[in-house]
Amino acid sequence: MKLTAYYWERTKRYRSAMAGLEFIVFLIILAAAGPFFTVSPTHVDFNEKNMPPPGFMLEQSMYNASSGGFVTTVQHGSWAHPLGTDGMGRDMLAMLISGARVSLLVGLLATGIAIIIGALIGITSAYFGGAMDSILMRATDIFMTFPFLLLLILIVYLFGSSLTLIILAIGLTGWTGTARLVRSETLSLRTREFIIASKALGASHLRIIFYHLLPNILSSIIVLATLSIPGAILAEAALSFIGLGDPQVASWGNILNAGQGSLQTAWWVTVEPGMMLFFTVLAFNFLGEGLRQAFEPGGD
Amino acid sequence: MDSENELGTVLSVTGLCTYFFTKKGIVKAVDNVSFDVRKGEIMCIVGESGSGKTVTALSLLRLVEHPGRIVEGKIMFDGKNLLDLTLREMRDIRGKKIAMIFQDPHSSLDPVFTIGEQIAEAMTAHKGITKGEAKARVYELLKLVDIPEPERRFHEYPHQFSGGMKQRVMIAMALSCKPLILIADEPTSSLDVTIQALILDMFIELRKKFNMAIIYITHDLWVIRYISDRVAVMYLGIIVESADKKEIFENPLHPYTQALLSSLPGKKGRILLKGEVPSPVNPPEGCRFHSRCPKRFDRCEKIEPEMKEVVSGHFVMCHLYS
Repeated sequence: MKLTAYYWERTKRYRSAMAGLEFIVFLIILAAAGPFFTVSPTHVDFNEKNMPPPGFMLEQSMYNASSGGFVTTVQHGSWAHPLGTDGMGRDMLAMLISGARVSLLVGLLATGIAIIIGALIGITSAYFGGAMDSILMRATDIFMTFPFLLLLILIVYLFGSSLTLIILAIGLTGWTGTARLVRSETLSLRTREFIIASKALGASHLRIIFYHLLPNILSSIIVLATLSIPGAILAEAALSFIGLGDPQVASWGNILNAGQGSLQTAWWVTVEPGMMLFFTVLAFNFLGEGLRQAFEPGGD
Repeated sequence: MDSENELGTVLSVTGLCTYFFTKKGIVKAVDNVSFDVRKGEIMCIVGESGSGKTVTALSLLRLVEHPGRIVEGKIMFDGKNLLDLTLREMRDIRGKKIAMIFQDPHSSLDPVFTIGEQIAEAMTAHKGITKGEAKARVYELLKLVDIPEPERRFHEYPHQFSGGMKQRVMIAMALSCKPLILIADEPTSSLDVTIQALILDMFIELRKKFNMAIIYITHDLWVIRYISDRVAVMYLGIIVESADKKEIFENPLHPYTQALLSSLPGKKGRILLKGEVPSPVNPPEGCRFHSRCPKRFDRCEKIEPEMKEVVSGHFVMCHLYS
């Protein structure tokens, strides 16, 4: 049996991991196909502001165009907006789906960037050792001590806020943990006999790194990547929540930020993205934990 | 040692020094070692742990790792000094011309790839051959090293193989490019005795088939008697005696060799050596063996003996014979 098939069988045994995976797959489908079935997430309609989900109602003062003044009306939920609307009458479902896109994009891309940088630095550091190791690891230490949020705020302040910039910023600052893990794994591998044996058979440095070292630490990298995705998602949400997110896109953090003022009345505006964040983070953590256990040697 | 231009010498090592520059001092793991390897012969390097056998072998392929360094010497192979080659040129020698097998078959194979993939990799690293060709060649190699059902075994992982089978795979990998010299670093010491004998027979057979020289490193006198043509005895980083197998076993000259051979079962008059091997950081002055030598005299403590050809082809480094 191929090793990948073997590990898949083992991962399947962890029900929480499979539940996590199912949620992630559901989220990906939602993010990919959802926008074709929902109204535009940026469509504003003040006549439908703070519309609760069906079955709920909200008493609020609304502008009446015919009388030209504010009147207190009772807003009932409607199936036209199954998850309600926010304070500007935007459809919550559409916004949540748009937010799923943003979160997945940030989570996957930023983690991808961080993992690639971290793995390259970690492997180079451990494989070549000596001065290279010292320099790269001290650089990693410095990066680690740097206050990440402050750096993000600085970047947003200097270059303005865009999703690309946020992804890059999270990715370019989040590699330190990976670098350390990969370094320590490589250190224990590089003196193993099969590495020396493949050198004795004439393998080049690149071949050893990509053909022997990388596949052998891939399991750790996969686990670490899965477990760092929630971090990236939360970082973006946090940034958006404090108002430094990309104002052009509806992300869960943005929605949270917009809804916090009306938490007491229009609770769904904050609860819904909050739940999405919660379940997404939980799903990735469950999956990562399951993978970690599946990759652990023994246990058969 | 052997006359320089003797016919059929494939590898000639002269004055090889490999030192390890540690914080405790310079460890002279291999110090001024010289030997020749002739075409198609099995040459054994014997010595106890820490005598520098493995470092000698690694030095031949320039695989000594930091803090170790080859300080001096010449390794002549194919008309070139291996120590002068660039790393790229050296890579072309490794595996293709000189291959090496390691001690522990359990850790010599990459756990995440199938046996077939790994043997094929050894070939594609050097030759530009297609996957299909490589696969056919892998089957051939697996058959050559007596692995049954190669078509099935090709797709299996190292953990599904026994120690002896893994060592066969290592041999198949080493043979994949038909090297001129095979360095085997205690390839059978972690296997049980019956498997050991099978593997040794395989070495003897393959040596004939490929006409390759084998440098066989071991501490096992029984193995030496079984497969070697020539023997070099190492003690504390130097070769103290070398001769044909028959000569070594019948007429050992160096007191260390004598003590070593007296440990074979069935021999009378076992010579027990006192103390332990001295630290290679500060090897004893004079003859390195003098602190434990039962036959030492004044000169041994001060002057390092030189290598002398006592009988034709029998070299020994001892004041008793100068």
